[in-house]
Amino acid sequence: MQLLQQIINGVTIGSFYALVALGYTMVYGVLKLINFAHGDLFMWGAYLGLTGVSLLAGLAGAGQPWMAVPVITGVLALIALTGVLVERVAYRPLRAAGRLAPIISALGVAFILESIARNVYGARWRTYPTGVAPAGGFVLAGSVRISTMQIAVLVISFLLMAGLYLFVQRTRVGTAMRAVSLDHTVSRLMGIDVDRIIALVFVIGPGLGGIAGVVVALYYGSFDFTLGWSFGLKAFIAAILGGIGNIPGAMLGGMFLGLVETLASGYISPQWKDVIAYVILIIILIFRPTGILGERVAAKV
Amino acid sequence: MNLSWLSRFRERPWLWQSGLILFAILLPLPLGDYYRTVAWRTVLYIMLGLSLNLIVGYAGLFQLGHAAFYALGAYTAAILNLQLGIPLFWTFPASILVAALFGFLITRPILHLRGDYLAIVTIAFGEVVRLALVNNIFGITGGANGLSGIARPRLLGLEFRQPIYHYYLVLFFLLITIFAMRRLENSRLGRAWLYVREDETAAEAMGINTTQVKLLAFVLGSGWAGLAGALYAARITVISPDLARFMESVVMFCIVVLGGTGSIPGVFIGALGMVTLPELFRPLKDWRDAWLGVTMVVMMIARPEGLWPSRRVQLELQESEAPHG
Amino acid sequence: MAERALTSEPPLLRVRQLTKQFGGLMAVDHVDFELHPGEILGLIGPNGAGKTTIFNMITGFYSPSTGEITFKEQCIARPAAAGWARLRGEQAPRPHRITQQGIARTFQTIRLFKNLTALENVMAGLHHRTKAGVWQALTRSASQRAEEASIVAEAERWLNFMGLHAYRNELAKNLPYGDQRRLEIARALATRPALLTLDEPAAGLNEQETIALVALIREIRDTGITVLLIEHDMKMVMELCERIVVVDHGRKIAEGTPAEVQRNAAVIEAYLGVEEG
Repeated sequence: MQLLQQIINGVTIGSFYALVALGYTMVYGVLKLINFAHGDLFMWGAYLGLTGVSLLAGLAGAGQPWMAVPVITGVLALIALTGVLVERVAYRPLRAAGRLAPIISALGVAFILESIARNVYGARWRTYPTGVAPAGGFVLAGSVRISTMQIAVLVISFLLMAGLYLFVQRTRVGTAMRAVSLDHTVSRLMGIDVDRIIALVFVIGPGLGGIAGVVVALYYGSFDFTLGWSFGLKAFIAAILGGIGNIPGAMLGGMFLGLVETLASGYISPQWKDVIAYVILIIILIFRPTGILGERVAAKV
Repeated sequence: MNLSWLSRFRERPWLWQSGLILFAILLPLPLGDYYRTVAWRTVLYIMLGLSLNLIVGYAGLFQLGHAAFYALGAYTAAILNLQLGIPLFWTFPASILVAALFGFLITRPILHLRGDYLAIVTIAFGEVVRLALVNNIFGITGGANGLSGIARPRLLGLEFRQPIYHYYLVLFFLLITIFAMRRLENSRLGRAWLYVREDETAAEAMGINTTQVKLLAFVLGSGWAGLAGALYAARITVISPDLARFMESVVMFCIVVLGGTGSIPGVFIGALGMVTLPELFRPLKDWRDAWLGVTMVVMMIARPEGLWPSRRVQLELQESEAPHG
Repeated sequence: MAERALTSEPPLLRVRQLTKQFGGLMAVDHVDFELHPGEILGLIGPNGAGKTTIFNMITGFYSPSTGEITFKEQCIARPAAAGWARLRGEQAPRPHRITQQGIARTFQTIRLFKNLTALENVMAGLHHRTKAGVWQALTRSASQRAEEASIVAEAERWLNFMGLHAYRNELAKNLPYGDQRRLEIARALATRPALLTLDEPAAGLNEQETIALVALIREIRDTGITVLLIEHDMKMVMELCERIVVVDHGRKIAEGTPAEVQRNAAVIEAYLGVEEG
């Protein structure tokens, strides 16, 4: 019984990780860059959502569940715009600069985003107005229950992930995206506008991250500026576990990490749950350096 | 940016070297305690940068969890001092050894990882160390609040209380560090690091045990960071798990890369940019991280190879194979 | 010259039932051959025949799926360890051990240390025969200084031997292509191998350079070093090698003197036919 409850909770958290992990994985796919700024874009989603919801709640007098819809749409647009801007300013000039420079630049963007958030919203914990996150829930069996919020989370993330998967696998633009992740030069020769595809990746990845930011903040109710780093790192681990660059892998890795973490915190110790997540990452990378779903490639000599 | 004056200095190394040492010795005399502390921090971070430079710069390995070893050194000194009453100076060798030992144990299984994957695992290890300290592992790390009440070090009846003593203390160790780094750089081992950084496969084909060579870089670099940690504990007397924060590791990493990977003067410049300047703009304290971030982005776009790259062109480090997932 | 192979000396290198599978692909399929001290053996075959894979197994870069390789009557390659064994440090394959035992190699695509000088490149080959560690580097003891001097001196001898001394302080990437190939050989020789393995050393060289290379390889052999050569340039192989092993689709299809191989019907069909057709 307790196990079932934890699986429900774990899958919910896992779908958050998966949504954020998609942003890491897609950017890595096309640029081979760990986008350290992604966690902070996600965090900005939570903060912008806070502003939006507070504004609407102030106008209407109280928080209402419908407010989530315009707020999520607005946040999606703003974070996607920021993502494109970050790519344009901080990553594109470094595309030919090798591997170290973009990493430093990405860390720099992360610092900037986090610092601005802390100065604008303060270092204290911030809470969403009540009434926006849907209340109530259903008893499944005995003490096992699933809340309306959890159902909403699962439905939203399932739809987003299925949509993304179909987009990447079935459409022309999705095919172009996969081509770019294999080889920029060849893609360009095939007539693909590589810059536009990369820009599109920076619309989708951060966009999903922004949505996740609002949903996570609604789910937990409150958060602070460290959300970007702590949650971002976990999501990043999820992307690695699934084999970075691999879109279904990111979803699977997210679910896996969410489950492991919830079970570890339930059966071992909540204090050590993060340590357990990191140790699993380390062990998997030692034995399967390309993740669970990643292909093993023989070193080219 | 016109940097031709730099190259003129490079042709007469003794000139700027002795000038710099003299400057470093005289520097704190006219300063107040606040600026003496800034100077102390700068020198400490130069040491940390040099220790990481061994790993990132010479051997070309992405270490993004270096702060963990810094913290391990500080905690070793503190625990030995608090629990066993060992005078702080006598804990320094233990700090070095513990950090080096952890460096060995942690990196041995992950050395076959390349590039980004290595970076990720080192981040994860750094977090594991930090969380273990936060969770008061073995009941000796004091949890999230850390440890306090470390006895100030004494030497020949002199208690190291004033910031200026600590400045000279770290300066002394920095000079030793630079001396050692230069000798390592120009040795058989230093060349082996170069070969590994340039082309690991070819180095392997030359009969170089690349695993051993890389491990040695990690162990030496970690031990050195441990010493820096002990020096920190000696000055601040209060330590917390924050020493192992990812942010600290990033600052160290940037010190190495911003100035020019693999170059000793580069580390100086990096530390000035990452540590000294933000301290000097105290009114902007809240915006310190944003300033660092802007510096990092702008620097990388303007000079991706760093301000003062090492004599050897650094492209090979950046060209190093990308793991394809 | 072929008499050498008939002496009673044990073979220097013995490849037995060597097999390498990549997924479902049999890159090398139960190949046997031997290499006798002091000979020049050519390993030829059409593109994708498995030559370089065999080569990488001999030099320790791949481990065989099955089969074994013995060098100086010692086993140097067996199937790789996996899982826990790898964590314990048994990370087979370990090319540096093979080099230390006396097999040196060059690469099909030149892999010099591009941003280091020619001298530093050759000095790399001397690394495994020298000892100075951290402590010697820090104290710069008399023995360490003597060792450094001897490393430089010997590296210079190899540069001289290859006629590259003019490039001593030139960055490797700035050398003309043919000289980069020679520098790679110099670097391999500096490891003082008993067996020198060359992966298409004439690739990209013009005719004169190839002729000079043939003379050079003979000279190397005359200093007592056995040579294993993978090559596409048929003329060069026929002229230089005393014995030739031909592989196709991962299998050995012929072995013998250049004259024998040239008459072999299977070889003509698999290789020469393709080349000329």
